[in-house]
Amino acid sequence: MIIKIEKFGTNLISRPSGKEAFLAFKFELDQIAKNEEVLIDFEGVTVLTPSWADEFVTPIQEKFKNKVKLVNTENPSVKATLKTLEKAKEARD
Amino acid sequence: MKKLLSIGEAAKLIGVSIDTLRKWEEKGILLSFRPSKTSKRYYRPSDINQFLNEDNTSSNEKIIDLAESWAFSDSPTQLSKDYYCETSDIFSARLQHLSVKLTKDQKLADISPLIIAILGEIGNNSFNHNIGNWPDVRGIFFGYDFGKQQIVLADRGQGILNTLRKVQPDLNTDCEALEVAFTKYISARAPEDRDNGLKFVKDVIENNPIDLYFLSGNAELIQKGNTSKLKIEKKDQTFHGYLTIIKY
Repeated sequence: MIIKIEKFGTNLISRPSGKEAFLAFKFELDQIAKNEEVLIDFEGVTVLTPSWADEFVTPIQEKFKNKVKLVNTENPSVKATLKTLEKAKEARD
Repeated sequence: MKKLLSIGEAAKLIGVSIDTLRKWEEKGILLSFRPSKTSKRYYRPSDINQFLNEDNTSSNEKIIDLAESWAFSDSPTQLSKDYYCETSDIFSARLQHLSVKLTKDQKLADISPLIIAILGEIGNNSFNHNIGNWPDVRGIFFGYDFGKQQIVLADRGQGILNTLRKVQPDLNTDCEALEVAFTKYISARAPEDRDNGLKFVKDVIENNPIDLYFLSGNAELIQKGNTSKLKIEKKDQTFHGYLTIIKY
């Protein structure tokens, strides 16, 4: 399964909009088998924040764990956001 | 741009989702129109252009002075609608303007996504943490000055100390609260407790040529671009919200 983040917008900033995106995608997410690889593709994203990503990316990572791969993460805000999510995860674990 | 745009095309041009455009319509931020009662909604290219080119900057006005007098005064003064974002939707639309403008400047290509991201985190924190609990006026001040390369956000909310005390009741001072907010990752699992926006801001400043000045209560925090050190000091004056200046 490939999840193209760009289809939720290119400026992904607030927590409520991240939550909305996750709810809109939940049906498709529920169809994915637990052992299937999930590719989250950030191509085309202009701005990403930890608040948005925490509502969308974090629950997917929590469900599919090491089956989740993050690709096209070159945008500086994507890179910085993913680093923040990693640090937050370390603090929780 | 001559032909009418569908909501999907308009969303793509502005860089937001279709749901966001629907919300902006409800709030009167960006209006569409329907050629007939039963037809789909369309956007005029001229309206989209106007939306993307609106500007709230004026080199004659000192945005820092304006923000300070609004945030620090005992009773709130009237703010021009050019700077006042009463709701998160208005803030989101204005942030989108700024994003489009900064993206046009090739010299800022590496940092403009980060500037918008940190502004988004700080500004949205105001709305998320004060909802239903604004001490007097809800909403935030949001102003920018391209000439001076500075951006100011402020609110008249509860401040960092009162917000953080909900998850860490042993905090006593504004200085301690700023230190924790900018450095300590919260270990709670509930989404509302794991707000790491200000840690993100610190990490971004640490690795980029962006300076940060942040005031809340009687505490002042300064972090110079490309450095990790936070200089936190107690000031003589206090106020109940926060004010931040970002220079790039």
